[in-house]
Amino acid sequence: MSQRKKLSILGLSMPASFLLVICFVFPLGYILVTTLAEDGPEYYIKFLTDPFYLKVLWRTVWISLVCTGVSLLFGYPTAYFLARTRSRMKNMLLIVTIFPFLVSAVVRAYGWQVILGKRGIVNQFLMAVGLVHKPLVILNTWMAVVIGMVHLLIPYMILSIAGVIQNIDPNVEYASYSLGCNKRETFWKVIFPLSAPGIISGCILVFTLSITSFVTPQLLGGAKFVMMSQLVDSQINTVFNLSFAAAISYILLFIILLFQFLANWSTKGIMNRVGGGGKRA
Amino acid sequence: MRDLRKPGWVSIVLSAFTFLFLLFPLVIIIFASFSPTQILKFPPQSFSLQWYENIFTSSSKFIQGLIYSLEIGAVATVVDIALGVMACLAVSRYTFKGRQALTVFFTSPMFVPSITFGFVLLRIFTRMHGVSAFIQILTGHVVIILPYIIRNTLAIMSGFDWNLEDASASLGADPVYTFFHVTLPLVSPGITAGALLAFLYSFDEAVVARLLHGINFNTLPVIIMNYMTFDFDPTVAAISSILIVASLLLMIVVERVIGLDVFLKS
Amino acid sequence: MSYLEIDNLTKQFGATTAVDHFNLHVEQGEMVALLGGSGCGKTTILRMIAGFLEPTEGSIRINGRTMNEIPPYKRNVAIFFQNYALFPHLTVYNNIAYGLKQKKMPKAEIQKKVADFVHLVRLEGLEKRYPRELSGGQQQRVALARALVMEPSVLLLDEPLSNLDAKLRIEMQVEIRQLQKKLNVTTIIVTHDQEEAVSLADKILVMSEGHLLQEGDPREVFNYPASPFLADFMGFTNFIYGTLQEVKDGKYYISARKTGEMLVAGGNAPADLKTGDSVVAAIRPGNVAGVSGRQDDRKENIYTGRVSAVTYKGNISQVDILEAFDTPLHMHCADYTGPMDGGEVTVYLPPEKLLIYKA
Repeated sequence: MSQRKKLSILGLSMPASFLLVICFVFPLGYILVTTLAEDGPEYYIKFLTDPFYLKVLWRTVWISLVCTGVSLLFGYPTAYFLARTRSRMKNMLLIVTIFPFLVSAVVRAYGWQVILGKRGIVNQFLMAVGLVHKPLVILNTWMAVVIGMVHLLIPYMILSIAGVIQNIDPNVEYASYSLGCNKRETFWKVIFPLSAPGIISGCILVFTLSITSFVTPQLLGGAKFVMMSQLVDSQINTVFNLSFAAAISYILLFIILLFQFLANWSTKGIMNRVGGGGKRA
Repeated sequence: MRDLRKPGWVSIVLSAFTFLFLLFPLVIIIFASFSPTQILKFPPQSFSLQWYENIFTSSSKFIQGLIYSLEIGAVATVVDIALGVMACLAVSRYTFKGRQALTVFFTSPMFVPSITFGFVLLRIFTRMHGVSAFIQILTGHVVIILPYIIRNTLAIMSGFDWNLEDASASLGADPVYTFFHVTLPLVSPGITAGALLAFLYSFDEAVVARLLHGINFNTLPVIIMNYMTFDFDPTVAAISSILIVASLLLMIVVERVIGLDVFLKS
Repeated sequence: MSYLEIDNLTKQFGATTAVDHFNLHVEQGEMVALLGGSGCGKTTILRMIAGFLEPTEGSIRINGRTMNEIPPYKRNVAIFFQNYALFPHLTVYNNIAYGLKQKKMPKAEIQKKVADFVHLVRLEGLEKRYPRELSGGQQQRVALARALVMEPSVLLLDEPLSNLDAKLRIEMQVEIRQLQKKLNVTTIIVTHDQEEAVSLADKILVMSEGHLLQEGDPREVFNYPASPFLADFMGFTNFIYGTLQEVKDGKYYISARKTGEMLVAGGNAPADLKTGDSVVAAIRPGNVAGVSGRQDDRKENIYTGRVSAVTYKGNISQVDILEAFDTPLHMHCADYTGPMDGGEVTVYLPPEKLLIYKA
């Protein structure tokens, strides 16, 4: 490598690296070390042995799994539609998909409060048609959290998958038809496997964002339905136990990193084989 | 001929449902903002602008929060465009050992939960004393949104023909001229898309901003969140409606200027 | 002193040596072709001359000035890229004017020069178009005009014709040659196509794996490749192995392994060839002549074999012949009317068309 090239790489990557080291890597490392030095592993052990906290962890994981599954179930067909439609509405529908991205999670959670609340739209409707006589309790249950989170995260799933489907070489598909596969067989044998990288990255993204989410469970689940991030928040803002907050923060971070590592490792084979979703060379 | 690549009815029905699901709460919010009563009644009986008035008169200082949010988002985005574009040039113009690792490093804030990062910054800044809430939140946001700019810029740079820079050099243009007249114009759609997402992320971010808030310094999402906890009237719907319409306009401008396909690339 | 002097040029990428002590001297206005397969180092040399790569060792001098430390944008070396590398966001006019603007030339002068070159490459009326609105041939002319308008000290052409169809390619060959002579610009062309090199260049350098294999004028390189490897590359795809029996009056008599005697005029024969050496004779398929049923008065180099396949290739037919030698023999005929698969065929290998090498 020439001297000039080395200098260019160094010079160009320096400012961002500097920022990340000073404001990101150092604080994360420093607080981890100092809290461990001050408190030892006590709070980590407390978290990992107390059934109450383990239940919160378990709840966070299964809610995230449900959100990922529902997002995939509805996101995949939507992505397929967006990638393939030649309707003049395509751009408008793409706006509908991307647009919620641009609207704050707080605002969107508010919308669901109006809809799912005790005197919300859904209950008004159900009582008006006489299906129920007492308002249903949806808000502050797992249902409200799942609805809110899917609404928040499904665009990530759709865009990850649509990008990949759009890049599948049409001739691969035509080849399958010419070899005697009908539309459904072609979908399951060609398109679906080739879109695997989009599905994988979409699922990893949605799961990660669900497991760390705070605003949506806080506003739609409330104190009755606590997830990991809320636990940290309550330790900081109501219990004032910063040592415990630190332990939970780092446990959450560790879970995310472990999950990312496992997900990347276990899907490496698929990613390598199908490349960027059969991306054109 | 029957077009075999057209979406089938399963995909049409499920995607129609998804699109309605995505739009539903946003439409409801807009209805709620004009509601004459505290609780939105369906179908709406009459129409009122009182909640819009309330934005300006409420003790919750929505407008001040809006300004703070805009300021932090703008500064963080501008800083990160500079840092991010430079970093992207380093990892996409050259091939070298450790390039992949460096890319992962640049996007690493994406893998850290906001609550963890916010908490860590809170502890650091408490020890440092005297750092303003503006700087505290700005620091957090500059780190959090960097990956968004990097990812979008990298996506477009990976398809960039670096021969163009060589062609420019062979025609006598120095590297700075080449960057501003050849490279930048051709990668700017990616940068714009990344900057837009990054700005909105910062503008909407409520976790770090909530932890690092100052006594008189709250960003708009935090103010809305707090307001929702204590009052439940459609003032939030009114301000949300304004944000929704603003986002929609922004979206349309983006669609016209750079197209939406950039969002499918990253 | 030559106009462009390249001495001991070496480039290493890690442990691999892409170019190994390469030397080349080019006179002002000369056109030199670097010919070789992919990975032979020809493009690496080009990029070092342009200044995009730094040599590991050796020097490049243009007009007496050493270029090693000079950045590409100060060399005035224009390069034509294989994929043209036109600026997609600039019009034809602005692509061509790009370099002139760097020179801070007055606007009126830029306009005049661009107009001249637009005329020269016959692109009138397309000045306001964007590259993606042009055909492949038109894009190529823009790239050529963009490079030539700079009046470069050296023009580098990287596989200039590889993206064009056959008809356009021949047209552009003529055009490039004419422009190059007219402007008298020192030019180096990199190509893997021997015909392109032969028809364009004043001098050809054949390369493989970073080494120079042969250097000479096109006729010499085309007709007398220096080794069996080069012969194969130059289209002498028939090889006949044997032993040298006798050298008489500058003629070489070989006993081929299967068929017996063969006479070679030996225009390329190495001086140290002696009786008893293992040799290989090479001939282009196009120079193998079919002999119709009746024997004519020629005595030597007549062989009989069996047709294994006849492949129609448009303007020629390729006939594969087995059993004449221990390796299959290919013959190209304009219109072949002889026996088909399995039939017996007699061929004549003209001695003056045969090359001889040490095996």
